[in-house]
Amino acid sequence: MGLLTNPTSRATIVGSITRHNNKICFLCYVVGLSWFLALAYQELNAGTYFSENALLPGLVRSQFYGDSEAEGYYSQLKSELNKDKNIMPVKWIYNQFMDLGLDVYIHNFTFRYPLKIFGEKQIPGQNVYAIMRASRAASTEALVLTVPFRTVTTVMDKTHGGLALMLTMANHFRKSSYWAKDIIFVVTEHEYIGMQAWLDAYHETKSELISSNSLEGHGGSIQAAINLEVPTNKISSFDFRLEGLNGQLPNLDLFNLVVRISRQEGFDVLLKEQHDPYHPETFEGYLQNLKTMFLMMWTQAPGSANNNHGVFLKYNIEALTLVGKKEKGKHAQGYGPMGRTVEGIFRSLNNLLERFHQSFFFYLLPSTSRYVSIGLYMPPFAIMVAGSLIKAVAMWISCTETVEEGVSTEKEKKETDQANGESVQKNEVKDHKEEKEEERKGLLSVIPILFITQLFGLLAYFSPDFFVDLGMPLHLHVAEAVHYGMLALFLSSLAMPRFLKRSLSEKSRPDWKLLKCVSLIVQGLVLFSIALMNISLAFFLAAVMVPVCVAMWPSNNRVVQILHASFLLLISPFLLLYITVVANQMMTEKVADVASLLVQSWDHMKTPLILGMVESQLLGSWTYCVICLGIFPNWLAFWCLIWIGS
Amino acid sequence: MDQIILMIADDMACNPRNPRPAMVFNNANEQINVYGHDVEVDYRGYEVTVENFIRVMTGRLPPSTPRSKRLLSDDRSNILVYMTGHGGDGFLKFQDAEEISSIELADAFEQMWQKQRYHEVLFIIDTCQAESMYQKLYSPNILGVASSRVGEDSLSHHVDSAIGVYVIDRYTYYALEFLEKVTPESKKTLSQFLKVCPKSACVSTVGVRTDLFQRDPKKVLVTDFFGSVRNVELSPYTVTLNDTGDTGDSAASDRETCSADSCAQKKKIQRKKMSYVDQFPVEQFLKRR
Repeated sequence: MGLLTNPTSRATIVGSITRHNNKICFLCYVVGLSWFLALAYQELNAGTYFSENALLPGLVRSQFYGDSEAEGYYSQLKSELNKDKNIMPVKWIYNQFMDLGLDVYIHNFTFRYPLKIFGEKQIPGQNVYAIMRASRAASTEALVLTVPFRTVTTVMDKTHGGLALMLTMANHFRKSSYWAKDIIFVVTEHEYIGMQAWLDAYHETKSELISSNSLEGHGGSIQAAINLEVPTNKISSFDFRLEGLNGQLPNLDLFNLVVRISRQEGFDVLLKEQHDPYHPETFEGYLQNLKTMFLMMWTQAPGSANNNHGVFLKYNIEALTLVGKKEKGKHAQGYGPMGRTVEGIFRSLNNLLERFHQSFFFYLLPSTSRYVSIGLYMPPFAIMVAGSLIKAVAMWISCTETVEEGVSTEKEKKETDQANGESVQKNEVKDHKEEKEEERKGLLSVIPILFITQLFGLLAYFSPDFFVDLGMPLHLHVAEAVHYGMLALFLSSLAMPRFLKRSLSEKSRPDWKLLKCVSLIVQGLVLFSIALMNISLAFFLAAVMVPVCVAMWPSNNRVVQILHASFLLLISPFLLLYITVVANQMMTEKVADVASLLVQSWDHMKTPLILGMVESQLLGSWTYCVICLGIFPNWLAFWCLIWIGS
Repeated sequence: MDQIILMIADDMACNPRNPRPAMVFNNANEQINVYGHDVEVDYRGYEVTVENFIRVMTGRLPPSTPRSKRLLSDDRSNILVYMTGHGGDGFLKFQDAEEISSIELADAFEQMWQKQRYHEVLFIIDTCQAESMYQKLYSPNILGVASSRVGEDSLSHHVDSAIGVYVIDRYTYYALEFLEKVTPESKKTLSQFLKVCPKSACVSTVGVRTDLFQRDPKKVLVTDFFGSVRNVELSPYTVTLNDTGDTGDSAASDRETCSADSCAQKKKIQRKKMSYVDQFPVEQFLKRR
């Protein structure tokens, strides 16, 4: 008989797991975590390669030599922008495309911010888009080149160089007859909201808060999109942004293509503003790769649509962003190489007969030439979470064993007390029955707690609008209202165990082992589900939650209780957000001292909170939903666990 | 009479990505437009299927098929079959959903042999692992040439950087180079043609199968298969053909086909050795651009 079907051997396996479960869980977690971090090492991952042979990158000789034209556009654009620094020069862009002879249209849209930011006002916006038709093809497919318009006074990186480059490329592309797909040039206002409005109108889908008329000019189905964010006319390197809405990534072949062509034209290639290490096999090289991979995961985890390209991925259109950077000490190149890069990318995309489908959609990048595929990162992640599942199994076994032990001791008593007569026997039989009933009731008794925690999650999900309305008579700014409202909700949820103790009697209170078992299983389920789409979010949550949750148990010792409570509080969603903001502040800005860091982080905490809610309503991002309905109830169940008593 | 049947599944010449529309060149220097005025594609696009190919070879086409799409060959015809594309061990890809296997091909040739549709076949194949396609042949009088052995890939020759694709494969490039120099009077033999791409040029090893071929390749002219070269014997004498009648008696027909004065001469003529006239200098009239 097999190992698992043989009851005796199964019993021994299960017995050994239960006896050593602490060690096994600890081992699983440590092995999983270190294995995951070790994946950034060159020997453990793979080099990037082209799966789609039709791309034939860099084989065609570039014919773009329009540097002077591009410089002309750039200076014209600058003078146009200085006339009015706060608006988008829609007419000027429209006229430029018109002069080139392309079909150009202005797309008007309006949108309303959720949570009544800016009240009920509908904010207007305009996108300008021009379609260059392929001269000998049937307009069945299209490629998109987009630039988000930013004014001269913007705090973000400027994009005017990219706009001049786009006009030049439009001029160059229309002179050739070898295009098999239409090329659509889009200049958006309001960043990715404008892009979402345009895409909605193009695909005739409807968004709740963004509304626009249908497009006058239409191309074919979009195969790929490139977003340009080049600040000036001279850059030395290209940085690439891949992460999109909900942590979705474009096809790895598109990234490989863009990297190859940029390198060919003499640009430095950066990923998350990090260079590739010169000696990746050394320890310093490994650390650099680890840093790049970590930064990529840090950007992917929140699931925000960071740039224009992020909203394309939802429509199965592969897109990424090229950010031009001028690094100190590096040789800067002008529009010639930039134009040849864009031309090379588009000529390769032109060769495609099918959508991108060959290469990976789920990966992590330690550098521009190495990747970690889903097949490499899933096993260590699974081992990390396996710790909590093993603990759940151990909890279940120990839970049922105690009942059985109780039954067997009763049986022994029965045998020894046979002399006492039948009445005693009957009593014992009744006890035996009662215990069995208790065991059966045990699983059902977990349900009220889970139900209430889920209700809290629902409250957290639907509360922002309520808090905004509450804050209006108090003249609170929306962000503050939501921030303090969520804090209030969080603190009130902390009081749940006290109410549970009062309302649930001894009998109907669940066995803490059962509650822990069910909560761990739910946690594993939620984490694995998140990992399928957004591995970074799942990894960060697992890394902090699994060790703490596995080691929780209710105790009568006050000190131990306080210790457990503080650890659990540290990984609560609210505090976790605060800690993330602190870490982010430390990474991006130099802060003077700890106190100001903590205070600033408290202030800055509003941003991701609001952004999560805004994006979930505006663009359909589900990070906020998952945290409210998946992570928060689960955490609350553990919080109840430690206070419930044995 | 055009007895070239051309089956092309992808329209490369008129593809929107071709910067020189309707022109396909043999190399990057754009020397010879191989898609010239005399190219006629008989089967195009989705008509290029395994079924159509085997029907053409075996002659089992519906009666409505035009003559230009039929292989009108008989038991004295020498046929050249050239196949290229994506292939593997024992198959050649036709469309994205179809392949022809080496066994199907062998059976098709056998059908042709049974129906006496060929005298000799020169079968050239330029794909990856091309040798596997002729390994299963079992009909006589077939000479097979493959650009690579089983387990080897056939490689492309060079890139045309104006288009951005590899324009020609190595074996085909060197074979074309050899054949461009062959004129209708050329005395080049097949064994010279079989040596056309050594491993240094082709990188893959060219495979040859001669066991089914009855003649010695050293004695076979290349023009037996290429150039539609026909040997013409000019006769300065007239031959009168009378109605033979219903009897079909050969002796009677003999008496009636030669007149009194020509009969005796006829016997003399038959003892003279036959000679063929020189071939028409067609290469001086071919347009190259």
